[in-house]
Amino acid sequence: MPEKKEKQDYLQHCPSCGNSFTPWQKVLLKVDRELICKKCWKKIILLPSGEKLSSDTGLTKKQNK
Amino acid sequence: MSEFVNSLLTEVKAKNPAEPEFHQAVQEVAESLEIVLERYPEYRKSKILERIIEPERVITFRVPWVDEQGEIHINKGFRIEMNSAIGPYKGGLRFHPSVNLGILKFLAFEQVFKNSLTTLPMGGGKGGSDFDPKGKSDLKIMRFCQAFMTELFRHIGPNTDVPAGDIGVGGREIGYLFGMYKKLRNEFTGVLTGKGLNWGGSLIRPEATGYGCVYFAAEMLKTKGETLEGKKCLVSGSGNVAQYTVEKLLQMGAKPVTLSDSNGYIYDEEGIDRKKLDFILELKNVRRGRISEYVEKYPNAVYTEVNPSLNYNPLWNHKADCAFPSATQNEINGNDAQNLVKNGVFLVSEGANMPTNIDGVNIFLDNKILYGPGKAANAGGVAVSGLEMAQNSMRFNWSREEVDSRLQMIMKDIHRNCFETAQSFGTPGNYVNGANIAGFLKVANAMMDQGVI
Amino acid sequence: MEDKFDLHFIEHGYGNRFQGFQNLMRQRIKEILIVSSLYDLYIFEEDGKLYELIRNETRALNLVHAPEITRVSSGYDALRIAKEEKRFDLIITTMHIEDIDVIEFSQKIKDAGINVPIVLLGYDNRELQSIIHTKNVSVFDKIFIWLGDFRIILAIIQYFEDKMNVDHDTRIAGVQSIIVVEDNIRYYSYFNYLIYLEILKQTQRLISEGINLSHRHLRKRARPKILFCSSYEEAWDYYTKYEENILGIIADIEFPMHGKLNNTAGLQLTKNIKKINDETPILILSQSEEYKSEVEKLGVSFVHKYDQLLIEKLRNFFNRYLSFGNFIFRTEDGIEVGQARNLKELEEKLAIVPAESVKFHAERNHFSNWLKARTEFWLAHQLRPRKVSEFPSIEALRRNLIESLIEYRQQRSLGIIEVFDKSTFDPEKSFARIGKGSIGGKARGLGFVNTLINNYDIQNYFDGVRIGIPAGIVIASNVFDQFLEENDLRNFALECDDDLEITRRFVNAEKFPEDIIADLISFLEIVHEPLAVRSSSLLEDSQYHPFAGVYQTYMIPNNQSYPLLRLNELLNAIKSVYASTFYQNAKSYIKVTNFRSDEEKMAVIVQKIVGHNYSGRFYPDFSGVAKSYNFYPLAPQKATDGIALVALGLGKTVVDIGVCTRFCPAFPTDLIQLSSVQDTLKESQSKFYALKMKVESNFGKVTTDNLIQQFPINSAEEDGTLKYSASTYVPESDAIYDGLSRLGPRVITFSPILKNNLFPLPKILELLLEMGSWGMGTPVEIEFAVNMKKEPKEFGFLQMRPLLTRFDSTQMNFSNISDEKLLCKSNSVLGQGTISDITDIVYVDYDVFERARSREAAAEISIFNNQLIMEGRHYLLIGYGRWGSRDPWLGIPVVWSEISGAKVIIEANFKDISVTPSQGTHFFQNLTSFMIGYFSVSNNNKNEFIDLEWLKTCKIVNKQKYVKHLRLEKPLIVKMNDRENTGIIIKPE
Repeated sequence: MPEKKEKQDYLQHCPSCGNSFTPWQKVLLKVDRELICKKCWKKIILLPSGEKLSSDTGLTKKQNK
Repeated sequence: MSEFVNSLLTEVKAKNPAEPEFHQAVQEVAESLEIVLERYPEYRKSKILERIIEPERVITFRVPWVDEQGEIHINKGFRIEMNSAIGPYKGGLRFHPSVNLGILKFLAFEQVFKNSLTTLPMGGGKGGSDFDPKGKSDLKIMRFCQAFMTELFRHIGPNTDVPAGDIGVGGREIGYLFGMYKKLRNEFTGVLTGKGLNWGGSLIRPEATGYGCVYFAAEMLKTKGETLEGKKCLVSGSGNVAQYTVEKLLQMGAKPVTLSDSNGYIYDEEGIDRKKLDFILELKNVRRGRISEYVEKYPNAVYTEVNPSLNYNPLWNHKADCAFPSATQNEINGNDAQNLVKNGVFLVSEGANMPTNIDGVNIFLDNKILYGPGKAANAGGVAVSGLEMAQNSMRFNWSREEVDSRLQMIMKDIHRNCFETAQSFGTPGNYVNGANIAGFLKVANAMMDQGVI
Repeated sequence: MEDKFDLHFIEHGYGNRFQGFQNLMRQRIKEILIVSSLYDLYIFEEDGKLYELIRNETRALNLVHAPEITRVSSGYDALRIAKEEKRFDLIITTMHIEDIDVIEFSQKIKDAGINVPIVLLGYDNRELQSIIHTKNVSVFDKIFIWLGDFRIILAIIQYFEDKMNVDHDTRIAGVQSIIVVEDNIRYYSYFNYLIYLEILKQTQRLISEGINLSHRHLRKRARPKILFCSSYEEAWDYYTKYEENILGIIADIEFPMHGKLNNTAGLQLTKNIKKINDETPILILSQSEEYKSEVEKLGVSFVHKYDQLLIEKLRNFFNRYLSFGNFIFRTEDGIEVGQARNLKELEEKLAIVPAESVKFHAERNHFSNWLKARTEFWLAHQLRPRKVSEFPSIEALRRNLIESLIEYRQQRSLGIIEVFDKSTFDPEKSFARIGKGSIGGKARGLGFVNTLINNYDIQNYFDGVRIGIPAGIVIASNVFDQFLEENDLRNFALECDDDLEITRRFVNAEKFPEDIIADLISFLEIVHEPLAVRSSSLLEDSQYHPFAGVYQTYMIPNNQSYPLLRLNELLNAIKSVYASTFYQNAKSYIKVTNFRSDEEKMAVIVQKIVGHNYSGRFYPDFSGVAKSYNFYPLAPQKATDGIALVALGLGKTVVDIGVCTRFCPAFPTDLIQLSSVQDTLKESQSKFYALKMKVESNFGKVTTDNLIQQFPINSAEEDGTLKYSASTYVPESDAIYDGLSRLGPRVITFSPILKNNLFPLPKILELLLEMGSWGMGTPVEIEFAVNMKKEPKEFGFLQMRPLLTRFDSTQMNFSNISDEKLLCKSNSVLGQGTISDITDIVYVDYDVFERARSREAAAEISIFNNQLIMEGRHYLLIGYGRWGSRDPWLGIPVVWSEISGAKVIIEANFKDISVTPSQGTHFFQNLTSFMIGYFSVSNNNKNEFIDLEWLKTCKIVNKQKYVKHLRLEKPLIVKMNDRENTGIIIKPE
């Protein structure tokens, strides 16, 4: 489906550090609409319009969830 | 060991440090040739031995290649063109991480004599790379082969150097290598042997070693005025060599009674006939089952399981006339040899490589058994490469029967060669000496003829 | 807006999908700074410590967060704290602060850039009024008055929280809001909290059954928000902004409009709102009855502010107009035609109420609103206002609505193992339970997998493939207990030590719980395909005890023409599984754990076998197992890439025989088994398992899995199943070609799938392994089977269990052990764990050995090996070059059987030749199958060494020409860290 492809195009990498996602992480991001990048610890939020936001989870300083 | 050989070895070790296999090989050849060098001092004068142990050419080259993940790899490529006195260089390519100059030199050195023994016009060479094909995808192997050939192609040719397969280089790799050669040279020639049947390969390749071994045996028997007809034969193994040994034995009227695999062996007093052989072919090649299943189908036969605590192999302990060890190396030790002799076996023709250990060989020789060493008896496998080259040159493929008959002729020649040579050097019936010396003489004489080059 | 995004994400579910609701009410008031005089605080805390009171109330309301309260009495202290600590979400100040005027203080706070709402909490109304009229109170975000109830704090919190989150929550999920317009501080200080409480209680009541507790908490975040305002403009602003999501309006009749107090502002508001949406529920409050009739003429409700029954009437308003009550089906004329109390009733009633009622409610968004009040947003979206014109008929609309409800119900139940119900059981995908009690480890694993697959929409993730667990039922463990009891078998079974006898008695037992039989009969009426009957017990699949394969599995064809025969066959299988609980094997296994046989709870799974009937042979095209962690990875694989084993036919091949194709899902084309023609021929599958479908009447006979038979792979070619797994061997060309296009013996290599991508098996496994280990929090092993004959192709998920890691590799820190204590150290180690019972060493003497003599060395080793095996002793084997090499120059050419007694093998370099470690196939596979430790030591590497000198000091038991056998008094300790592939061997003390 072309729709699926489009989604997949931008769901591949973390927008802030470029780390590519594993297949399961892509699923999580698509369904939950947010995911924490395990490399830079930023949280990525998918807005309804399809944009990606990445925000600091503050995890670079702290280390709990 | 004569002084000459001693000093030769010292020099070899000095000039070729850290190549123990090569030293070993040279030592063995030199020792068995002492007798020749004694008789014919002109070889010493012309320094044939010193020349023969030095490769005519050694080519090493870099093989960089990129895999499908984009990763760059660098391997070493080698081609040792050892000796071309009697024909273009001929020898296999080995892809294995252990490959280095020393190993290849030793293999190339042995190849010269092996090829010479076949009586076909083939020189000796060997090559390869430290590339490890294990676990690599088809694509990686193809890319490597193509990269390898982009350098090798300028050094080989149907009249120059004709590589073949070896460890790590099978039908698939030969295909890739040949494809690349053809692309680079824009010619379709017999530059590699081991090709697929559709594109220049020869028939009878899988059968050649087995058939050849039997043909050699038949020739040995002829010298005693005997034939294979009715002879009871012990055959070991159940792979290609053994299967075709049995097939040819049947065709020649003999009676094979045993076959084996790593779990055990079967002994069929009634003899393994064509039907039973077909069963074995299906069992081993198609179903890949165990030899033990033979007795389920033919309950009159006896299956004996391998017993690791024994120091002899009961397969060799049956009353028989001939033995054809076709399984693996070192399957016949001193005790086995004794048993064979005791049971009346008077002919041993080796289908495998070095299946008899040094004690066994000595026992055979001492008891004047008709002993055909693998080097000569299993040369059929090597010979068929030559046959492939011949067909390629003619641009014509012989039928099975034609190839088979030529193979038989070659084995006859090999036999005659060994036999006569052994005779003339005072060790009649000693095919080991005969093989070693005959192989050497052909090459040495050609070298003498061709000047100091 | 609502159409654009996928409302699924806010639906409930397990694990991360909570984040749906967690996204709501994100901004919270967690820390409050109260600035008040001591006396004011004394007043507040009349009933007890403010903090505790609030805490208790929070708990009583089943809210999760109680705010932290910090109190100071000095304005300057407050300023300082607020500036320094920056953690406050709200500042409440009273009129009397110790050291500074309250307005000045608040201004200072704002000026300091502390961007936190400030609330003035007055105590005395007159005082408050005077300050309002004489000073500029705009600095305060809101003013409240203390009426003697500490709960005002909660009302203040609610006010701000709703205000802060309304934008986001409405946009993201369409959360509803109620606008309350009241300007009288005294009144709203009293009233707001009332409304808040009411909304909260109503919402709590309505969150439907079937959801677990923690989920309920989260759903409360989706409660309707209360937007308090105090002027016409504010109210209008809210209304126009959130129009579609405004549940209703409660307004005073008198409040400021255009800057001036207007005593009919409420009426105006009502009129203007009705112009936009006539249906918006509005409630007008007033201190006098003056405007009552006018209000009611407008068609909205009226309540007197000081009505004794105020709360009642509010409640009624909520119920009737704000969808908090039952759904009342009406016709356009207002005639009531039905009521629904909950979702189930809604679904039922929708089917029978007259069409015009359906039309009436559908067009006016009544369903949506009612559902939203119950935080069922997904459903609300499905049942959003539709025009009948969108559908061919009203009936079509009705059907659509009902289908949405059914779909929702099904979606929700996916992941919960529901009770078996003949009318709703779908033979393609349902997984239900029968009987009471525990469902056991295996079934739980399956249920969990099912949840993950459904909640993350994995079923159809790959085109043309359906991923799921095969349909089936679980017979819960109480049935087992009942069966044993009714037939008085327990004691007998515990004592008897003859497996056959146990089976016989169990199968012949006459009593079986009747209700279960009834369910089984119903099940068999729906399912006619072959079934696998498996154990799912308490002790199985537990993290620390490897119970796999201890209990039995039975497969039955389930194809007899008489239903009674099928039932009998199934019952026999079930009873046989029960019997296997008491087999000797199981008993001795249990003894080793800390459990007892009589503690075991046995549930039984009856599931469809994945596969197809090929002329009397039933089997899947291929099946296998995959692990998410591989202890023996070969570069470029990493341990975390996992490993998969796949075979043609039933998975028994993989488990029992072990001859199958191995591959790493991340590198499917790198197949080590297929490196050479010989290896491929030797090591590929030549037979496969299938279930024989022809079965004579087995009435009274014991069914075991002897119906599963082996067939040669030629049979698969006849069946047409070979095309996914086979290649062809052409002897003349000494090559193996992918696929079946050439003539020659067939070899199972799975090239069509692994190389030519006929089926995305590697990618599916990669995804599922990651999903599984994420879900279980540990590495996992999964079992699967695939049927390519179905459309879409079926990938059956058969089991998932946590991978056993027997040892804790995090304890493998070697750096603190000095090199002198070590016999060997290596960075190329394969294997894992600690071995501490080796006292024998067989080693090739470095000083004597020559590579030319490697064959003799091999023979000598073989002798020692056989001796040690007979003595039952494991040993450490040390040699040079590659073990098992076929080339005697490269290493010692042993075959596996000649060194099979070794527990750890060291390969070291020899004088002049440096050799890469042996990862040759068969040898290597045995290494991995038997979990032999492997150390490769290269003298090129400074961190690797082997202390050969020390070996010379050990006691020699036996020696031959090149090989010696040593024995130690105390054992060596071998430690292997599989994560880093490092290892050490520690000399005995």
